[in-house]
Amino acid sequence: MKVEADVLEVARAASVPATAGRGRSLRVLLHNAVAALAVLAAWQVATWVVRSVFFPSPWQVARALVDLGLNGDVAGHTLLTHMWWSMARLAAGFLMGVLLGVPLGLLMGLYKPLYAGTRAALEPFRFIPPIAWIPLTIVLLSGFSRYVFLIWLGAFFPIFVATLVGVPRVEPIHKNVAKVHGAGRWYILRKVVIPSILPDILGGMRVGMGTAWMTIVAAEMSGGETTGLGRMMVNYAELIRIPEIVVGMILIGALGFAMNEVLLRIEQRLFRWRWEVTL
Amino acid sequence: MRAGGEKVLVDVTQRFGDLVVLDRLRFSIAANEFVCVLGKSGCGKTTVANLLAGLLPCSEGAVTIDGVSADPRRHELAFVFQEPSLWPWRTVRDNIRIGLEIKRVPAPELERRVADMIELVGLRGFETYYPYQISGGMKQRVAIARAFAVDADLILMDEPFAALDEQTRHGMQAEVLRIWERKKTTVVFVTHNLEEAIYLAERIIVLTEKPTRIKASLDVELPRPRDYAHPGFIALRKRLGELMGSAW
Repeated sequence: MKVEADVLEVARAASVPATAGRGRSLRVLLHNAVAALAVLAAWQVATWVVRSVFFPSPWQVARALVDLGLNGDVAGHTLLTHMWWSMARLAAGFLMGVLLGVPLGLLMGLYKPLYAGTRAALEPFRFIPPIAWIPLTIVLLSGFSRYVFLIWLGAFFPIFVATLVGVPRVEPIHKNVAKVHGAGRWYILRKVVIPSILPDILGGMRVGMGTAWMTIVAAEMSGGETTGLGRMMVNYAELIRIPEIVVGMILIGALGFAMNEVLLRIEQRLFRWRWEVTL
Repeated sequence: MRAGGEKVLVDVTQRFGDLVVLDRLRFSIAANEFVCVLGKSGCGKTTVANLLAGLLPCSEGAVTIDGVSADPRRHELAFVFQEPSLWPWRTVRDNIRIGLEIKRVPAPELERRVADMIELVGLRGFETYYPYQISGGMKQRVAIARAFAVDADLILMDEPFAALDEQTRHGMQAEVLRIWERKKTTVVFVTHNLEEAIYLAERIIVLTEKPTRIKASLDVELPRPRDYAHPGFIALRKRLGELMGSAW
């Protein structure tokens, strides 16, 4: 009888979000579409009011977008090339940030003395913004390596810190379950610590992604190569061609948004076991 | 003491700094015995359970199982905690696997035992649910299934039903007895609840307040299933109340 009551309870808990969820997500989609259109409309109206050659209308920007996409810029690079290079640099630097940030965060989280003994040497670097490294890297590094280094700087610390502070927050009772059955440290690390802090790590990755994205644009503006969205915007600034600059800005916003959405979807898929998914 | 030999021997003194928590606490447990350790809150009951499970090193003395110093790697131990202890990222089935997985039980045997336990605790159909999707009582049933899934030398239960409502608690007590009778396992059940101890135990070890010693060890020879209204039950309850002092 008890089980039956539980069954009903569970069935209710499981079915309600499933059916209500679809209708709600459609409505949310609609709201977002309306909000985006409202921004566009406001922009259009503003151009009618201001009427300046320095204030392009959405229509002019759309034309610049198509033109850049099909015919390329003054140097012959299409938008796709610029986007591809920005993304490739970002992916390389971000990946390095993950590959170094997660293990180092785990190591220092598990062995407190290691962090306690090195923090004065490590932490100050966190407060030097990646952009402040640009002058040095202009002298010491060139091209791809410079961009990757700067993006790595931007992505590393959020990921490292999220991992580091996650480790001590692992529930002792979850570890004790494994210990009672005779589990070793390696098992506890793989099967308890990492699954427990994975949500923290993913959160750190989303913050790191934001910083990396900020850094890539600034890094590309510092020159070095002829491709990349940041570079493209600077080129058009020198030509005082505002619609093309705005195209670059919109694409940066859209790509950043898309990548964040991808990470969020991964989080939702991975952490179905959590009541609330961080947003 | 029941016939069947002494499986677990406890002889420990436990200190936290200058504080003596357990003062030469000595008792033994027979194979397949169901012992309740009864004491007021704050008397070191949880310390006893943690020592037996190897979660805490003894400051003095030892816990031995079959003549060997208790060791989670060598012995099959299991623990049912009072607090939620299921791994929230694992389904019901994968939570029950944990002990078997750590002891590297081969896959077919492991699957069979997990399926048996799911059947035994009545969780069929819920194998793929996550802990957040099931009720508190069901969670504790999963924790019990996880403990009994390994053929444990010793299972510790530290007030596992304290957080459950009265009705669910009675159901769970009967369920634990049913599983224990089926699986024939040695169980040490820690509680502060007199009725719970009388309902469950073959023997009740009553602890004093800190520094904790054994105040009494009583065999419970009432017929099962035990009836709260049975004169023997009431008499024993009265006796335990006196042993524990006031409030009861």
